[in-house]
Parts: sequence; C-alpha cells; structure tokens
Amino acid sequence: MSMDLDAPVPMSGQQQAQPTATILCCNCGAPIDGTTAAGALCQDCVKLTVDVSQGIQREATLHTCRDCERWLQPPNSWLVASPESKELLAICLRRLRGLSKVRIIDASFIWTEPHSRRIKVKITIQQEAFQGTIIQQTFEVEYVVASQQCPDCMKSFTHHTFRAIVQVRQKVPHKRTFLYLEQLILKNGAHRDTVNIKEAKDGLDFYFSQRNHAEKMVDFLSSVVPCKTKKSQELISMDVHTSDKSYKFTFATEILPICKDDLVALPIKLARQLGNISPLTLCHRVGTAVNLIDPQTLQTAEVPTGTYWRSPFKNLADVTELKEFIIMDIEPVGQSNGRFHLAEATVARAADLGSNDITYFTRTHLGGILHVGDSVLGYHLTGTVFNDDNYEAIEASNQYGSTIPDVVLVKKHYARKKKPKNRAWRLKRMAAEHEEEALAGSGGQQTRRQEQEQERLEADFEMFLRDVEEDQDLRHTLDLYKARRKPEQDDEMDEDSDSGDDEVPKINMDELLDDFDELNMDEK
Amino acid sequence: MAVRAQFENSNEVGVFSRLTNSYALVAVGASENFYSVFESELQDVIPICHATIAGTRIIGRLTVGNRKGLLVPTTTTDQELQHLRNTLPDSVKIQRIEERLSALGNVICCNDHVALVHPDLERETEEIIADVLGVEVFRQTVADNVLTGSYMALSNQGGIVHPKTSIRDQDELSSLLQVPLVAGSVNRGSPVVGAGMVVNDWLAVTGLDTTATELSVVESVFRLGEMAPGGGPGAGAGAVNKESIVESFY
Amino acid sequence: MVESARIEELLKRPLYVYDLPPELLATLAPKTTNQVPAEPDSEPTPEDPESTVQELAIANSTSCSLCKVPYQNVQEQRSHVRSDHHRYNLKAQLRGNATLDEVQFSKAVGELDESISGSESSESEDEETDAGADTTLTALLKKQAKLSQTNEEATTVKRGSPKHPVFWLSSSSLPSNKSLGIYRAIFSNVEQDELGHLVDSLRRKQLAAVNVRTDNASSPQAPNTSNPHMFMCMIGGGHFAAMLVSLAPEIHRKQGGVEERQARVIAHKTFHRYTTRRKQGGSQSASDASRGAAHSAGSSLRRYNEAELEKDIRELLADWRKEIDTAELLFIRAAGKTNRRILFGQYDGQVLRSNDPRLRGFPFSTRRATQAELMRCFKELTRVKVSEVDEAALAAAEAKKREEVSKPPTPRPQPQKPKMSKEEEAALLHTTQIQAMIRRSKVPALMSYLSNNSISSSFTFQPTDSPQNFRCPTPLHLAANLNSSAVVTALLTRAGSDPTAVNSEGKTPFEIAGDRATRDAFRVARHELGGSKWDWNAAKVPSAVSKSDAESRAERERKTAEDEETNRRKAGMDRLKREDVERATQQKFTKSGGRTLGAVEKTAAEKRDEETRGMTPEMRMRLERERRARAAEERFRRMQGH
Repeated sequence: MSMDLDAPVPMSGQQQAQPTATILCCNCGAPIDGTTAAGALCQDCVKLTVDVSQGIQREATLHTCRDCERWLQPPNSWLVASPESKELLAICLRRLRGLSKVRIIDASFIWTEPHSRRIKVKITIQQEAFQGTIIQQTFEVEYVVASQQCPDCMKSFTHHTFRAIVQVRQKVPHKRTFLYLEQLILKNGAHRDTVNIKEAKDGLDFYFSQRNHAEKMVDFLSSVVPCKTKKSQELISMDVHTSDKSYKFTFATEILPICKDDLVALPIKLARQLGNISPLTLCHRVGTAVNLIDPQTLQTAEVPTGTYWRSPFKNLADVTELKEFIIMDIEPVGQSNGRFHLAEATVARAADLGSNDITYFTRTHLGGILHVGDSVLGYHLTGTVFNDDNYEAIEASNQYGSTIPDVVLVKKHYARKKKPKNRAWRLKRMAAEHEEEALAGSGGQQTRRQEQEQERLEADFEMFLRDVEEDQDLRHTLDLYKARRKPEQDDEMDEDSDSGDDEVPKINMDELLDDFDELNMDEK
Repeated sequence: MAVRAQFENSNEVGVFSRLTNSYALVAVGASENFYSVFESELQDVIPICHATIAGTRIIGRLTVGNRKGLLVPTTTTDQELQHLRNTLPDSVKIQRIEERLSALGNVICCNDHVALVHPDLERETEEIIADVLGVEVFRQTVADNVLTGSYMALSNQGGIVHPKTSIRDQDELSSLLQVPLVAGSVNRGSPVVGAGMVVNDWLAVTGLDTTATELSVVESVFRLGEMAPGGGPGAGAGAVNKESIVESFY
Repeated sequence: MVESARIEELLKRPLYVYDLPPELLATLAPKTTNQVPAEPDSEPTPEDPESTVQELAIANSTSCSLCKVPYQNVQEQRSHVRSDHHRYNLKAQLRGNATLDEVQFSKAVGELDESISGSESSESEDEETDAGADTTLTALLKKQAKLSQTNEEATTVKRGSPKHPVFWLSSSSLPSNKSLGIYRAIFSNVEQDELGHLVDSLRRKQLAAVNVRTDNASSPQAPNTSNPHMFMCMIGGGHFAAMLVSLAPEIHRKQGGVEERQARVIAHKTFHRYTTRRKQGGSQSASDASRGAAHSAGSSLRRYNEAELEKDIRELLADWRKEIDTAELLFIRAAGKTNRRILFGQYDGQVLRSNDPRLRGFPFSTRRATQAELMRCFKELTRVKVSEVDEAALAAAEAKKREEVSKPPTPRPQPQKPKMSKEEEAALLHTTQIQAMIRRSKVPALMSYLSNNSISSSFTFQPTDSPQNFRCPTPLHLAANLNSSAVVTALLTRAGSDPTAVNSEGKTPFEIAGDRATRDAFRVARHELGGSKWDWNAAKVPSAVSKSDAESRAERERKTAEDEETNRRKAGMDRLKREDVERATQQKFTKSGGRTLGAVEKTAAEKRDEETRGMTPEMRMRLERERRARAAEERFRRMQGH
C-alpha cells in the first residue's frame, strides 16, 4: 500500500487511455483519448516532439570581479554571492533570456571545478505545450565565468579616486611606532573606510573616499598617539555657475619623534617647567603624551603634545644604541614610584667582561627586576659623544653638569635566541601594499637594498614583539592572538631551546584571544 | 483515394478549395501545383473551376456546397458569380446568401443529405440551405465549437470530427447524420479537420503534413478505397458493385 | 376510491381558493402540524440526471446529452434537434448558462408570456426580432439575460419562520402524502387566530364564479362594489401598479366548450416616472437627504417626477377610495421610507392607513411593479398549493414530535406554587446571585447566602425558559455542569439539594457532570448521606465510595499520569539526544565530502567582513563584543577541559 502511495503520480490521461480511446495518435498511430490528448499526440510523442525549452539560452556569460569576488547583475549592480549559493543561482537564472515565459520548477547547480571557470545549472521548467497540456522538461545551462573589474575595485586601483588622504609620519629610523599603530588600528578597526594604504618614507598614507572618513582617522590618531595635524586642500574643480567646488584634502599628521626607551635631553627651561625635573631623562612610555622619568630620582614628568611642539626636542639616543651591561652589584635604595624601584647598581659592560675590570656605578629605576648577574641594556654615556644642543647645555650648566651619570640603564635584557620560532601568541598584520609591489617589481630577485630593508623591518618587528612580551601596559592596549601551531611536531624540536629561556617573560594564555579564523565550535 | 497537397506552402487545403461530388473549386494560385493535384484525380470526372470569392482565395472557407448546389456569401462579385455559373454544370444551383456569418464554409458543414450549421445562423439562411442544397439542416455544435464547417469534414460515406469530441457527442452526431463518424486530426495533429482537408465520395485531399496514420484514418472513415471515381448521382458504390455482381452471375 | 380519483383529477388543474370544488372542500381538514418538511417544489427535481440519462445514452445513443431528452429513432432525434428547446440549450451552453430540461423549458416559456406587459414596456428592447418561433426563443434568452441580474436582488421567503406563511390542509379523499397549502395572508386576522375553524372560514369564503357578460359595454371603471374584492398595489423605483380584483372568478367559455376561469380585474392602473438615479440607485429624495440637494438637470427632473408620482398615486387612491374601503384585503408592497410615505403619509383625504387590519404584505418575493406582476401575485396568492411529501420523512418527523410530546413533563418534586410577581422578582435576583457564586466556586459564600435568605434546597432558577436554565434548572445542575466538585459536595451534604431533580432534557445532575472529580463528589455524597436519604438510583448515581477511597484513587491516577509523563519526557530526551548525534555525524559526513564548489572558500575574517558590511559602527562594535565574549567563554571551557 505504501508503495503505491510513494509511486510517482503518472501524468493525467494515461490511466484511462485504454478504455476511452477515441483517436489515433497522429504521429505513431497509438490509440489515445482524444478529449484529453494534446494536439492529437500521444504522451510519448508529445515528449519526443515538443521542446518547451526552445528559445532559452543554453550558454551564458557571468561577470565576476576578481578582487572583491562579486558578481555583476546587469546592468550595473554588483552582488556578493558565494559559490553554489542561492543568490548566485538567482543571478544565473536572471541571466537567461526567455526563462520568464516558462514556469521554473527547480534549479540547481551541477558541480564543476572552480578553476574551469564554468558554472553549470540544471533547470526544470514547465510550459503549456498545447491547450491543457503542461510539459515538464529539464535541461542544463553552462555559464562562462568572465572576469570584469567592478567600479569599486577600479576606483581603488586608479589614481585620483580618493577624496582625502591622511599622511602619517614619524621621523625616526625605525618602525616600532608604526607597528604599534598598526596594532591599534587593527584593534579599533580604524582602517575600515580606507580606500588604500600605502607606505611612504617615514610613514604611511591612508587614502579615503570621503573627507569625514579621513577626519575620523585623524581623530583616532590624535587619541592614541602624540601627534600634530595639518590640513590642506587642493581645488580639483569648480562649477562657476553654482560655485560647487570639489577639493582633495590632505591631512599631514606628524607623530612626535620620541619613542619609548629613548634617552632625552630636555631643554633646561622646559625641564624647569616640568616640575623641575633633571633634564636628562628617559622616556618610559608614549601615550597621548610623552612620559619621562629621571632614573636617578624616579621623578616623572609628562610632556603634552602641545607643550612639545612649542619647544621641540630630539632624542639623545634611541634603542639601537643600547649596550649590554652585567649587574655586578645592586642594592635597593628603598624609594619607589609605581612599578619603579630606585636602586644603586654597579655594572660592567658585557663586552668588557674578561678584558678589563671597568665597572660603573649608577642609580637605576629598575631596582625591582634586576638582580646580581642579570644582564641589562643601557646607554653608555661616558663613551659617547652626543651632538645635541640641549645635552651640551646640560653639560655646561652648573646645576646639572655634574649629575650626568656614566650609564643609564633602560631595561633588562633577556637571553633569547635570535629569532624565537614558536611564540605561543602572535599579532595580526595589515596586508601592506608595499610588499607586493616590491616583490612584483623585482620579479622574484631581491636587490641588496630591498633585502636590507626587509631585514631591518623584520628586526624592528622582532623588537616590537619583545617589547610586547616585556611590557604589560603595552600589552593591554593590543589584541594578542593564539598562534596557530602544529601541535606535536614542534615539541621535540624545541626541547633544547626551551631550556635556555626559562626566565624570558611569557604571556599568559589567558590574555590571548582566539582567532576567529581558527575558532571552530564543532572542534572535537 | 486520399492524396496530399499543399497550396503555396500552406497545408490548409480546405481553405483554398471546395470539393463536392459534382464539381471542385480551386483557388487561383501563383503556381499550378495545387490545381494539378486536383486535375490529375478529377480531370475527366467532374469540372474543376479556378475561382476567387470577393477577390480572395480563401474560397473553401467562404463557400459551401454539395452535389446539388453551391452557396456563396454576399460579398461575391457579380463577375465571380457569373464565372461560377459558366463553369459549373447547370444542375448545380448557385445562390448568393446575405448572412452576417459570411464565412459559410466555416459555419456550415454538409454532405448531399444533411447539413450541420452554426446555432446563430439566421432562419432565412437555414431555409435557403435546405432549398438550394436539398439537405436537412440541423443547428449543432462539434465538440462545443460552433464552427461546424471548420471542425468537421463530411461526405456521404463518413465524417471526421474534432479530435476532442467525446464518444457520446460522436454517437449523437453519427445518429443524427446517419453516417459513421470518427474523431481525428489532419496535418500532423491539427484539429481543424474541415479546413485542413477536402473530401467527396471518392477523393480526399489533405495537407502535405498529414501523417500516414491520419491518412489511413481518413481513407478508412470515408471509405475511399472502395469507391470508384465518378460516384455522382446514382453511380455510388452500390451501383458499381451491383453491376459487377450481376456480371459474375452469368 | 372513485371519488378520490376524481379529486386527484381535480388537483391537476390549478385550484382557486375562493372557488374550491365542493367535494374537496367537504373533506378538508387542517394538518396536525403547520410545518411541512418539504417545501412544495412544483416539479420533482431530477436527482442526478447525468447518471441516469447517461447510462441510457451510452447504451443506445438515443438521448440528447444536452437536453436530457430521450428519443426512439432518428426522426424523433431530428425533430428534437430542430426544436426550440434544443436550440435554446445550445445557446445557453455556449453562453455558459445552465441548460434546461423539458419541463423547466416549458415553464420558462410559460413565464415569458406573462412578463411582457405593464410599464415594463416602457423600456422594451429596441428591435422586434424576426417572426415565427424565433421570437419566443430570443425573448426567452433576452429575458434570461435580464433575470440573471434581478434574481440576485430578490429576497427569498424566509423558510421555517415561526409564523409559516402557508397553512397546510389535508383531505381525507387525498392520499396522505398530499397536502394542500393556502397562504395565511388570505385569512383575516381573526380567522388566523382560531386555527381550528380554518376550514369553516375557508368554506365561508367560497364564491360562485361569474359568467362573463357577452356585452363588454360596462366599463371597468364602474365596478360592482357589492362583490368581495381585494386591492393590491406595489410601488418601488418609480414604478407603481395598483389593481382592484374581484375575488369571484369569471368564466370564459372558449372554443370547444372548455371553461376557463379568469381573475376579474375591476380596475387597474400603472404609473412609471423617472425617479431613481441611474447607475447610482436610490431615489433622488434619499440622496438629497443624505448628501444635500444636487443641482444637476437630472436631479431636478427626478425631484419633479417624485412629486408628480406622489400626486398621481394619491389621486388614484382617492378615486378608488370607495372600493378600497370595502375591499376584503389590501396587499401592499412599499419598500423604503419614501414609498411608504407616499401611501401612508399624513395628508388630506388619506385613503390607506398603516394600522389597517386588512393590510398585508406579499408573503413571497415580487418583481418590478407591473400589472403582470400584480396578476402573477394574485394568482400565486389565491392558488391552492399542492405538496407531495415523502411519507417516510413525514412519519419520521411525526414520530419525533410525538416522542417529544409523550415524554413526561419534568417531574418536579416540589409543588409549583403560583408565585406573586414580587416573589418572582426575588427568585430572579436569587438566581443571578447563586449562579454567579457557583460559577466562581465560592462555597462558603453560597452556603451562607442560602441559609441567610432561607432559600429552599429545591430552589429552581428563574426564568425557567431561558436556554441556560433549560439545561441547568437547579444549583446542583449548574454546579455539576461547571465541574465544580466542591460546590456539588457542599450542595449535597450541607444544603441538602435534591440529586434526583431532572432538567428539561430529563437528565439528573450526575448525568451532566463533566469530569471524574465531580462524579466522584456525587458518589462520596452518597456514601456520606447514606443510601436512604435520596433515591440514588433515580438520581443515576452509582455505588457509593468513601472519601478516602476516592482520594486514594485520584492519587493513584495522578501518580500513574506522572510516571507516564516522566517516561514520555525521558523517551523524548533520548530521541533528541540520538537525533543530535545523528545530525552531528551527518554533518561531519557532509562537511568532509559535501563542499563542492567551495575551493574558493572564504576565510572567517572575510565572512565576518561580509556580515558586517552595511552595519553601523555601533552595531559592528556590538557584534564584535559579542564575539569576544563567545571566544572568551570557549577559552574557559577548553581550559577547564584540559
């Protein structure tokens, strides 16, 4: 019984063809019921002779944009449709002329290799062939996928399609600030509206299609880094009748060239204003303002952006000039300011060990983390000649000339491998354009300069990563993700290397985010 | 005998010709092919007339006739009428009818004894049909179509009706007309059997598209194989057969 | 037997109420019931004509499938095909109308003869079609085209209304399934009241037919007023038709000596004026009243015509005043305010009064006010209707009726005291109070109310004939019906209500109790009160149960129900779990092999970008936050898992 129910329903007229046959099929002569037959044809002949899909294209072309993977919906809209989705099916069906005259019963994709650039769709249609006879037919349509750049992509690839540009510059030889900025931008999604991002000398250019997007970017920048912005506009065209003008806007944003761990010699006058701090200070943090600390007294000072630009000063020395020292002796003084603890230390240059016994006595703010035998990075002032007016002024001044220490310790140095391969965490990067361009330009063979550039960049990034590892405050402002790693493989390999850097600061797993690319809920 | 023909690429031979037991009308065509089909079958038997009606060639749809007479619509010109009178035998009465439904061939279907007409035909017309053609006139429909002349082909031997005619209607019509009827099609499934073919008692001409099946149906229902040509008045199959039987007795 | 056959013969001719054959009149008796189950359909509608005739046709093709007309041979068939009937059906079929069988067709042709007269001719069709038999056919078809519109407007007589418009009489000389019907409106108000003397009054009404005078010189405008006569008029849509018709028929002698009775019209008059608004409908005065006076030419024309029509009618009525005053009955159709005002409005020399006892409406639907329509109505009113009723159905109905009658009137144990109106009022008040309390299951309040007002245990609700009290005449009935077991227990045990009381359907409270708990309450009460207090068997209460028994049983049932519920829930959970697993495996399966064209699969970030496209930054932020939270949760979960 149930078999009967499930059996496909035969087309009408077939069941009672035998008893009430009144005419002969004009094609094959089979006796059929004339009152229900279509055009005096029997069922089989109708199927054989009538093609209801006549006039419907069997081949068509679909246009897709290679860059944004959107599909052209003629005349000029571009739709997002994933492969084999119903949106794509709708686009496919709309491409066929003549399909509106028939009734579509079913349509589905037939699988094709994506690289074949073909899409096949199976369509089932119904159409009234003769009066009162509906014929169902199934056929395949093949679409050729042609690529065509969509206007949006075209714009982003063409010059003068932007309306506003934000030029961010920092006149320092390294890229750490920008790496940090990149992370901040990623975290806050400030780059969403950009049409394009380009690397320029000493900085980045952000292109926007609208002025307010650029202004938003500028506001964002001024809220995270100390910078000053200058706005300028260029007249592109003007309608003399209506005085409608179109401008191109440029926001030149210069980030203050003081970075963390830089040694700064303040103008004495400014130092007096900043709570009479000793003018030779260390920058320990860069937020929206520059935070300075006098390692001798733990006195801190904050230089707001406006104040800085009124009397700009340069850094005396930056991280590239740090030398490694070994703590010979250290004794806390007892004074402390936040996480800084003042201590008196006797250090010797690591390079000098074994060659001479020169030691230096200095006061340091790192009393809390330094122990005897630790290696530490610091500026070696005695052996250095600085070409800086402010420094000379300090040396010349009666008050401060004698307080210049031999060594200024900056941060603890952890013995690490050159390039630790398996960090448990990682940072996201913005896809920078310059890399592609560089690769494309060289045609695979990198020039010497480019290689150097590349190496420097990697070194900068590595340094930035170390900073992130060591500085908790910094870490809090960033999004850290768990590294994608191949679980077992690494363990044996790293057996020896792990033993070496026990005390290297590690980031707690709790602080890390799961990357959503990796996050699969149905993971076993 | 049933033959296939085409009038200038059209299969609707019933539109362009009218065939009865005593004459045949053929439309004036650009080529003589169509005419020659009739000529080869009928040359010495009955007169074949080249004709136009009201200047048109769709003479099969505008006229109706049988052995005894011919009816033409009111649009027929005097000249055409005169030509017909000259060509057709004197025994054939020709009459011009004033009728709103002027495509007489579409609304009237007749053989030598009965006629089925459109239900809305005027009463005078009905009387004229009865008088001129010497038939009994019935207002009927064929498969719910009022155009009896279009959807029915009728001879004294039998008739074909629209393929969608039900058995019951066939029985009723058959009993009314007293000839065997079948439902069928011509010209590869065309239901307009009246316009798709012409038939008399011994010859049927159908469109070139007519399939073998259709042709065999036509031949069997009109009994075209059994009949000798010239089955005019009193010279039907029965007469011929009787003679041969009488011959075989001696 | 011979006589009955004769009467049968009589019935074949139309019977005139005022001139019934004496032999029939003698045997007439009113029917026991005035309701006749089947309305008198003049012809039996062929039941499923398709099937019966079709079989015949298939067998030997001797019937017309269109007209359902059988024939023996070709001649008959041919003559049928030539007939008007067949041709009418052909055209009707082509137009999509219903085809008529022979009887219907002849009837339709018959009606055609009547309807071409009166003021209807004012808008008669422009062309007179060709002569001969065609005229009937074309006229019929035309008429049908018109009728199809008017039929929708006509209201049908309300059937089975309490006052049936027709009195049914039976005759001993007729077969029992035949009955004769006479319109109620024919009788005067007094006669209508005394049904028993209906036949006597009918006999009194008989009049001798008048032989028509050979000389037609006497004008109809000078009628013989001594004759009993009636006045009929219709007014509507600018048409007016009035007629004075004598009740005594006149006999025309036709050729061949056949007598034919005809209604004798003393005087008649029709008017038509253009008053209704074309295509909008409604009279001009009504339109003016609702929308303010219009100033079109047409409106002023109609206003004038309305006034004229009113004047004409009133003049006519004044002319006929004498006859109208002496008329036996006045049949008037005047729908709408304006039309009634014309006839009955206050004016000098008013003829018709709306409170006249002779005034009647037509007890059937009528058409446009024309002379022909008046004539038709007169015939319809005065013709005795003959109905054949299926004997079995009648018997069944009768039996049912008898059953209802024979059922003993609800035995009330308490004597039905004749109550004073004041007491009745009090009872009504108590009824509403008690019913409200029982509805809300307020047991203590109910008990105190009963005792405070010293309401007897056998109190019945007032009024007894309301539909609710019909089913639940006592508080106990109501409580049982509402399934409030607490109230039932209280009423039985404390108020001492009588469980044997029956409602109008003859049911005891126990029988109308809806659920187990309520029924148990009865049985517990039986247990507590003891078997002797009431006749429990009469109350239909089964054997007693103690309260504890009932409770324990209830407990048991509750428990099993609970068990079942837990089982069901468990099974459901199992099933869900199983399905989950299945789905998971299936998903895995499809995931491994399913993704087909997905080589260009998007990364999650891209997907997310796609999702957030077109969202406001706030929404994005919210989405992002949500995501973070989800990720954090997932992280915790995994850490706890490790």
